[in-house]
Amino acid sequence: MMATESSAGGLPAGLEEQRLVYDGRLGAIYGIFIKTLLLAIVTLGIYRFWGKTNMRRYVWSHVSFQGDRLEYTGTGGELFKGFIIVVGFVFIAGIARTALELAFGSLSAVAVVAQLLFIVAVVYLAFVAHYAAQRYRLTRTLWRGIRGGVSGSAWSYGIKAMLYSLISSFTFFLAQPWASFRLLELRLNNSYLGDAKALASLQASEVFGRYIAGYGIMLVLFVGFIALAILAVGSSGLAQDFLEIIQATAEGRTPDTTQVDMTSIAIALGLFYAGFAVWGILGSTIAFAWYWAGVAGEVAARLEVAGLRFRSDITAGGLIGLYIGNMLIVVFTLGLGLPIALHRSLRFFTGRYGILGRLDPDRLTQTTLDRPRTGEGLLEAFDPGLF
Amino acid sequence: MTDPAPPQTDRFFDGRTAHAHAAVLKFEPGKLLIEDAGGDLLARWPLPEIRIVDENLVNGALVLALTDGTAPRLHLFEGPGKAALLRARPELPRWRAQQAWRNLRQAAIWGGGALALAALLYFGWRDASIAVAGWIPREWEAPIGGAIRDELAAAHRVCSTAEADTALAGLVARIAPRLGGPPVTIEVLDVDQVNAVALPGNHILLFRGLLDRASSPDQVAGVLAHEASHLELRHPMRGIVQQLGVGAVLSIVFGGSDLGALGQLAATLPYSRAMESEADRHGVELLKAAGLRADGLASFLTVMAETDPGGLPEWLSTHRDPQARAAALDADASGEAALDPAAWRELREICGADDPGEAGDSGDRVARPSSLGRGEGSAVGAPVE
Repeated sequence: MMATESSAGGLPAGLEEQRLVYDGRLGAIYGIFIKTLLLAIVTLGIYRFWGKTNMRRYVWSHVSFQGDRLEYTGTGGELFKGFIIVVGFVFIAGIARTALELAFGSLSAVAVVAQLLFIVAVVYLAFVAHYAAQRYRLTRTLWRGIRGGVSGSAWSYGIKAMLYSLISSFTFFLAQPWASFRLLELRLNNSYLGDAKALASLQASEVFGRYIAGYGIMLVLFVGFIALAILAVGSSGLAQDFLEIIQATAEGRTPDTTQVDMTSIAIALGLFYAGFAVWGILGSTIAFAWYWAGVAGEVAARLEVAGLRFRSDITAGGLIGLYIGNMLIVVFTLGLGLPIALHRSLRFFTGRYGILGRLDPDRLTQTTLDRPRTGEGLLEAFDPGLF
Repeated sequence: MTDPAPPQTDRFFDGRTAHAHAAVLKFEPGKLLIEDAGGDLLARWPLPEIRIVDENLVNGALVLALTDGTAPRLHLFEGPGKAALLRARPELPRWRAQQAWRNLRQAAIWGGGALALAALLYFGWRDASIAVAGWIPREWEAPIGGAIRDELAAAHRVCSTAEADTALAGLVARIAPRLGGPPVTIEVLDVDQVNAVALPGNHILLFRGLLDRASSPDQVAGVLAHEASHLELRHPMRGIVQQLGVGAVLSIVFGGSDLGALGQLAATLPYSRAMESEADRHGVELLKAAGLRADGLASFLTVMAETDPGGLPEWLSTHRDPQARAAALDADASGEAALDPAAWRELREICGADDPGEAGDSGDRVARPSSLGRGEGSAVGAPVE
């Protein structure tokens, strides 16, 4: 079951290639979506957890591998319990923080430290949640009576993730590929299908060039955007108005509204923020698509589990089409297009990973790893998504 | 590498390996026996505990498991095995409806629970706030009230003469000898408004206008007893807790509140009618316990309502019938006078005998609109800015 050869591109020849098959229907997904939406409204949002579980059950059971379907065995109650635990923690933390502020004053050292600790704790818990959610989902995934599992501690993953993120930010995020690959490795190498352990050692150097290209594009786009904004202000004659506002702010008085065209200023500011959002969302999607395609390729090339090897057909163009398309669909349908975006994503990813080799079912035995009792409540608090 | 059971025939996965066993079904009373092609027993399932996990709409397989959540799975296709099982468990095909009903019931229970909790919080918060306010140490009120007191003292002249201060402090100590928490401070602000304020942290502020309008020291004592009762009954803290409960429990939880906002709330929120009546009654009790005349507050309220009926808009907003409020008070005149004539004269002249003070400046910085009435209706402004 061990790999015979593990360098990227040096796959053993003659391996049979198969793919995950996704045969879900958009109509069925819409049925679950609409039902969840209506019942969530009636039950003050509580039904969301059961709706999400229904959605996963449907999607899992419409993905098959070697002719057998996956099965999702999680329940809405588990998700809900996890959520309640997190709400309880947040509530107690909020009360403790307010009590400290009342006792010592909001600007006292104790209150400021408590405030900082609260922010750090939220970031830390977001990382912990990410890991814990992966464990929940894998332990709730069954294939041929065999479930997945994740070893390792989510709490220690959270600490490592904080450290790697800190290092990355010290390098102005130039070390991001390295940092995210180390974290990805932690998540991959602790994952199991039955007793078969996933194994991946990723090389950040393989994707570093692509990352730098994206980084450079983002910088150029940013400078261009700022230059465009300045030019627009200059040519529209709003420069005087802005100067007046800046001067007034510096002198601590309210701007002279007879000199300032407030409507045009508001429109200009609105355009600026809209442009900034476009830069951040559309710009980064396009600029980093090549990098993300590289990441997908690198992970596929290095990963092996239960003797299976992988190959990615994901391209930058494909990713851009997927993500930009999904964004447009969701935005222009005011969120009602979410099922379409989900359906597109599932078709995209299941169809673009080649799985090389065949899994020997007799040698894949049940895992002994723990199955957590409650579901990803922590992640729910940060990412209340559809799926 | 090859499974003995090709797809489209009944298969059993034992939950130990991913091996697909060809499955042959046999029945004995109350049990389903799953055997492999060679007749070896793979599993013995109690019939009542069998559930349908899913139905594969593409290949028609029915996926079955036990209700105990264990991993073994039985895949059944159209044929004698499936038909026999469905004869033994005829209600199995309704699994989708049952599952949907179970989900809905669970969500409805939790949703109903959430609604009940919300209703309990909304309606029960008043009583809970009394308990919660009681748990918060009185010392914690100090920074909130202190900040408001300092703001007011910075914006207005604080009147002070040795004799008047002694008289006031002595009066408060006599009226409220057992008030817990930080030491009580009592100060007179040179503002031409008929107003008095009790701030968290045991600060009482009298406005000069009130001293000008009072016709006896007993009326001032009545007002002081009313304000001291607010403090003794934790009304400022109850107001804060209640306000957070009604509108902003979420903001406290998610970090939206800070001390400044709390102080603002504490200062601008009028007390509820129940709290005012409670303070009225308790004030009379305090006066009686101190052996003082207890009719001062009632007579002051009556005078105010009679002489200036149109000038009390704030008061009217929280107390629709001031006369009734005065009438509800016990007007026991048997006790001692609050101050001797000399001390009363000193107190009245605490801001200077002939100085009109800030008569024209009554509108800008005023704290909580007191139920005791006030000169200017426009002065709703918040003290903390």
